[in-house]
Amino acid sequence: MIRRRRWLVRFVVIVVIVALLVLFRHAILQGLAEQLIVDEQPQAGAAILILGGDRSPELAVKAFQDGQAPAVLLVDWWPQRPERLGITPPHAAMQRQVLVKHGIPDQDIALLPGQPRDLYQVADSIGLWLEQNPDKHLNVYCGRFDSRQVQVIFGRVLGEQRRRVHAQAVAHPEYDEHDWWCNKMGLKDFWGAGVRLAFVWTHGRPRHDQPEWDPDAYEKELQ
Amino acid sequence: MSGAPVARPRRRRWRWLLVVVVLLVVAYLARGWWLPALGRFLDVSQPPGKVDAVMVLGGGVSARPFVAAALIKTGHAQRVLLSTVKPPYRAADGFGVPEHEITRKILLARGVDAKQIVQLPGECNSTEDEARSLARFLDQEPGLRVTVVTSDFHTRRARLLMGRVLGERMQQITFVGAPTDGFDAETWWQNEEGMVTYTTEYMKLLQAMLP
Repeated sequence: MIRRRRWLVRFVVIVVIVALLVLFRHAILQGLAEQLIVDEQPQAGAAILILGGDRSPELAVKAFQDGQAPAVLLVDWWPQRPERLGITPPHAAMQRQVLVKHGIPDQDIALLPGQPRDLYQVADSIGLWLEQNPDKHLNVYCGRFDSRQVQVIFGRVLGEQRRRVHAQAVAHPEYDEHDWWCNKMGLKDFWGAGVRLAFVWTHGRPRHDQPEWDPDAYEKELQ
Repeated sequence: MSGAPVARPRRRRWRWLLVVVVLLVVAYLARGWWLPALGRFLDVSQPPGKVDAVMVLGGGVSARPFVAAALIKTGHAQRVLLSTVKPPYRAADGFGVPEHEITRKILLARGVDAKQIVQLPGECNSTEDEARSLARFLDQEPGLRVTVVTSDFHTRRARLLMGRVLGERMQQITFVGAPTDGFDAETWWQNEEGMVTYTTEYMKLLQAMLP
């Protein structure tokens, strides 16, 4: 009898928990996404760095045209294989073309020093830029759910200089923290950002020592 | 005497906790065995054989088109089927390049003749869309043997989804895996992008397995 009553209590507790989770799912899911977001106050007159975020180029264009940003910086990422082989232009060159097409003069677009392969190396490059421009601030446009990861890494690498860098969490055009679970891309983005953040918390700087796949060698093997 | 009924469940609870902790420790110590096994499970690719055409699935332009080009150049196939990938956000404004255009450029740069490239009609936003696109092409050319080129970790899900759409015609389809720079089935869990890629792939696979 006692055992049966104990099971009944357990069952009721589980039902109540599940009911609460269902009832408050929106608040819970939104709250989870909010843990991934750091959206800082933009600094007036600061240069813009486009780090990520699908809408970042158009937002940078708008900020420039409104006179809120004197210059736009782009990340010259470590080239992918198609770029290295000269098949596609570098990502930064394509971004620059788009910005110029939308009205930002070429001389107001610059590249961050170096060719970073990860966010730690981006932070190193930002540190260099801040040293070269001691009186300037940077508004960094990044993907909304990646902004916490960006903040953690910048905090680790930049130290005192971090005060001159302001992370702007740019929302995806189709979803944000209020409805990410209704969108396939949103689910993928949320999961990826969560895993990356967990990885950043538990690991140090990534190594890039794995040898790269060689398409020519692969072709020879097939012959 | 009166304390005994309380003490027993508490002891049992501790025992459960101990079992969980031991299991976690064992899982951690044996991670070098079971995590690569999880990685290998996703890869159902086969060694390349002679077929009529190769189909490059969208995504992974750093390797998939290179593998497809190598298959064409070494005489494993005569044609490349390209799915039309849904353009990125505001591509029309010049804020992004459609992926199939990049793939086409890579194929041409690697020595594939433009006449050998067939652009499949219909915009694709997922592997299911690509399977439907291939099915329509096979309606026009029944009996065509096709090798699907995709990332090695994607081959199991691609096979599952294509099987649903193509049914009996799956006998004409084989899968060749393309590698990913930075990680593979053995090392994915030691790498940030590997971790994101493989865990996301497992979630997508589970979703694909649901009716």
